[in-house]
Amino acid sequence: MKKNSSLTVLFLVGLLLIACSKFPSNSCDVNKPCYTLAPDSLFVELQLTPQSDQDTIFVSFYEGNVDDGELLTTFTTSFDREYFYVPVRKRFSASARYKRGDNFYTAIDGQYISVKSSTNCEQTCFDWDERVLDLKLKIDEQE
Amino acid sequence: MIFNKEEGSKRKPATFTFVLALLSIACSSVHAQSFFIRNPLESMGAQPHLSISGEVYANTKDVLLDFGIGIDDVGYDYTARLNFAFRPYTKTVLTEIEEKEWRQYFERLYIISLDLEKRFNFILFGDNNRFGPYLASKFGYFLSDYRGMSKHPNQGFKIIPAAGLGIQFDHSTFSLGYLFLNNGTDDLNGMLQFKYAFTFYKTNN
Repeated sequence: MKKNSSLTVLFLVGLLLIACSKFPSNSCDVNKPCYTLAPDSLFVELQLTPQSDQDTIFVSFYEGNVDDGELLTTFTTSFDREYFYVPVRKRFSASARYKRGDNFYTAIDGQYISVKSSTNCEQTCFDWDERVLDLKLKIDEQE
Repeated sequence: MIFNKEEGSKRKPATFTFVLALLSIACSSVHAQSFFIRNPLESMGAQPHLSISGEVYANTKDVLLDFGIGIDDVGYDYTARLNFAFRPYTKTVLTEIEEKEWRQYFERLYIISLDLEKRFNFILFGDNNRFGPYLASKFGYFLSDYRGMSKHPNQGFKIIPAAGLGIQFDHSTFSLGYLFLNNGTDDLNGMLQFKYAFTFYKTNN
């Protein structure tokens, strides 16, 4: 009984390892879009909490992290979206400073802009994740 | 049958007491066979065995999952495990860095800890099953990851005590307790602890 239990556990662990490991895919889906050219740059979207006419948001955009990266640009805006065209395979981050009454709130987010490759119908295809920096102020969303 | 209201009302407390006495006798005879009190500090000598555990810590604002592997000494009723806990999602946290200056981060949290636990099982029932309170402590290191930041303020060593009740069967232990987690913020202070542990050892069956 105990030997069977050990074998069962080993079998399940083995199944798990096989399921989680990556094997080369031999799939071919002709309807699936395939971008054969790897992009050098992509757009990054900064999502902000829209402001009234009197209030503006102070935004800073960095290559790297906010606390030790290179400041690329700063600007003020009252819109809910801003876009930057940035090179891939680099990390970018941003901060957005809001004023609420007497308090100042700075929302910070960052992301590594990556490009993934896969094979479809014996062709190398490139794909990328959603590139969004969420700088919306959550206390506004909870109210 | 003539029912005398006054007589009937006098009989009710007596009847109730009689039934209660019967129940007490019946239950005590059952307890005499299935339950008995033991000295929670007595031991059966060192019997360390391999043990694994899975835990959930939760309060109204946060959830952490924890997995551990280590030693469970069923003789001295203590365990020592190496545990890894993590928040299974990214959480928005708000931190006051100066007066009227707040920072909003997206945080992922990990805790690596050595968990020590001592059980004080004072009730034995059934076939060597045990019930009783426990005291525990996590000696852990908090690792937090803030998106967009290289420095992580919520990081460092912490000692986190816990206490609760546990019920121990043949190889399995179920525990429910409270983790006195004081992280300096309102969100993470105090969490309920649900734990299941499995101990690998040969029984006499």
